[in-house]
Amino acid sequence: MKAIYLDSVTKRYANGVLAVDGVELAVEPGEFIVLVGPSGCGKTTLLRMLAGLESVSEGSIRLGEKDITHEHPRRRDIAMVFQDYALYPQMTVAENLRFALKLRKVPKATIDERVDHVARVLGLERLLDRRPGLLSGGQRQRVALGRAIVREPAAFLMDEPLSNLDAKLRVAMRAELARLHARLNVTTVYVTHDQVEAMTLGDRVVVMSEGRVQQVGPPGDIYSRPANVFVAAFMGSPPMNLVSATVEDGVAVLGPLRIPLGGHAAGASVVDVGIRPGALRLAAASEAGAFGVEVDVVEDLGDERLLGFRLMVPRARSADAVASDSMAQGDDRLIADEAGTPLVAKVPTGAPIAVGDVVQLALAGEVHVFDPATGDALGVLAPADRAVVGEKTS
Amino acid sequence: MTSSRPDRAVTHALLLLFSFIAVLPIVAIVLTALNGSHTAVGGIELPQPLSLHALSRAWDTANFSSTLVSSAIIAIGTTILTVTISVLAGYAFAILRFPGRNLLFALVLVGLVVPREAMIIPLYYDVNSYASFLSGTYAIVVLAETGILVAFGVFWMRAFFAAVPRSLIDAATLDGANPFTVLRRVLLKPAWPAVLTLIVLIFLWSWNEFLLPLVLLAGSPEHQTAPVSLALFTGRTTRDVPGLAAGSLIVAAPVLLLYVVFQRQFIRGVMSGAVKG
Repeated sequence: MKAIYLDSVTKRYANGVLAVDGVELAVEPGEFIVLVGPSGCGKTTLLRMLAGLESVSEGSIRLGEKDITHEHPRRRDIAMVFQDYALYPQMTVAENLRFALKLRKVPKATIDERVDHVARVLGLERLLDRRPGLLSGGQRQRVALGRAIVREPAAFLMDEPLSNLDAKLRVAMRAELARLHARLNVTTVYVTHDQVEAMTLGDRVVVMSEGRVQQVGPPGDIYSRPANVFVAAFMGSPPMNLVSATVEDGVAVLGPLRIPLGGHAAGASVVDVGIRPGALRLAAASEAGAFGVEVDVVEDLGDERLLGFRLMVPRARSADAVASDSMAQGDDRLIADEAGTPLVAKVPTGAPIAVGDVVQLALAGEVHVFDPATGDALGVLAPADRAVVGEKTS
Repeated sequence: MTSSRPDRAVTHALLLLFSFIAVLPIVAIVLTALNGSHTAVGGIELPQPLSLHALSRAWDTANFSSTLVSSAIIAIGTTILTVTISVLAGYAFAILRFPGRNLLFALVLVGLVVPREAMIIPLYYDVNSYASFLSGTYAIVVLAETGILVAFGVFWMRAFFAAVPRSLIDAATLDGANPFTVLRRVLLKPAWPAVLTLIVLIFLWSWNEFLLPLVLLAGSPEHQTAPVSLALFTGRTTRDVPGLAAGSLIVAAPVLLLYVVFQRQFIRGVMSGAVKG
């Protein structure tokens, strides 16, 4: 039996806007599932429908065996952590933790026991008499979590709970959340726009766009086997390099590179090709398949570097690739495409590289092939599956 | 940005000037009230002789021992009824979703723009026709004032509740609170400065109300209010200016006291709408 089952769930507002379109999703008991996507993709609306804070236009929602589609929020056995924590400002931390249990007429002894336990687990013992206004962001977030945990619900819903924290605290709290989930093992539905959070926290990731589910799967699958250009471009930092390539005799031609497609995209004359920045490596000039590029941007991240360069290849043509590439909108470009399509390689820190240097790169990872008309993935070429024939350029 | 000394001096000078202009009429009334004679006074001058006789004369002439009680009964009754309705209705309009909400709120706002002078005559005849048992009672004045003042009260409280983060209400709902519990246990305490401001304003406006008690209590002089009794100081051919000034001070005193006691919360309530915490 699934912990949560969404059956063709749709949300259509009175003004005709389709916020969520026929979402089907089954969440296993104890699973930590992450809904990720850009702003306006419907992930928060879907979460609020799960909580009962938004009505369901079509479809149904089950929590265990119970159909909760039209159940009032207070009768669903669900606790939620909000982006702005939503702590009751006039109540102390202890009163915030107790509030839901008092409303449900839980015996006082049980309330005291649960509040003490949660305060110990989350390190809130010294803060119980403080009001939220006197707490730091991290402390408020722990109180918000505690308020959800103390209810011992069937499921947690979390709406971007880390987004109001500074970057360093966010990384620390991410790890804490993962530990907490491992300890409590409560089914959790987590919403974020940050794909790093999605990849690190989720047992499975649900990528959404325009109200529809694009792909569901473990983080590794989402990253290495994206179902379409949208998922490929959205997941991964820096984003996947996406270019258009002509196909000649089953070989994709993109600038200095010739990549045999091995039967993928049979009959196509043009394909979109995706190469993750990490799939490119520095090479020796004498290597087969190496190609020379002039570096125009160097970003030193400490243990690795991002090298920006340009290739005389057209940008990817599928709609999602164009939409995801804001630089293709014309007005946002600082340098015209006449200089080539900007691409990025991620290489380890090593010998110094400066802007203007010509370096040799080679393909070291997977190459993704997409249909330029639909954006759907046509195949993934692992390094062992292909033999790259490249023309050397200096 | 710190300002220079000449800037601060100019700022202070302007503030002093406008404070002086605001306080000047009150100073004039106080000085007039301390004038011992019946003679008309003009300008601002220290009365000769200085006397509290006008205050005791005003107290007896206007029968303040009775009219102040009437004003208090009406003002307290109006304040309790108006603020209660305003908090409940303001919360409903801001937070609850129901059909016709926006249209109903627009109708409430109409009450803000219709002048009471336009409604007083029809109101008088309606009371005599349909609720004659209420005619001349405190209740009819309380109901009439509530009906007029509740428009502002609903507008004021709706504005406050609309600024409350939606997530706070969602959190309370998920915790198991029904809408009334959300209002009572989650929102009322943070709303207290705004509610207190409303209490002070409604009390002030009700206390100072002249037209409604004048018309609706015309047949019941024993229930007449303090502001209406000030009219006794102006006859067809005579006018007791010191008495009128003294009477005005006596009428204003309770509201001034109320403001002095609650001014910190009042300012906080007014500012809570302007600045988000």
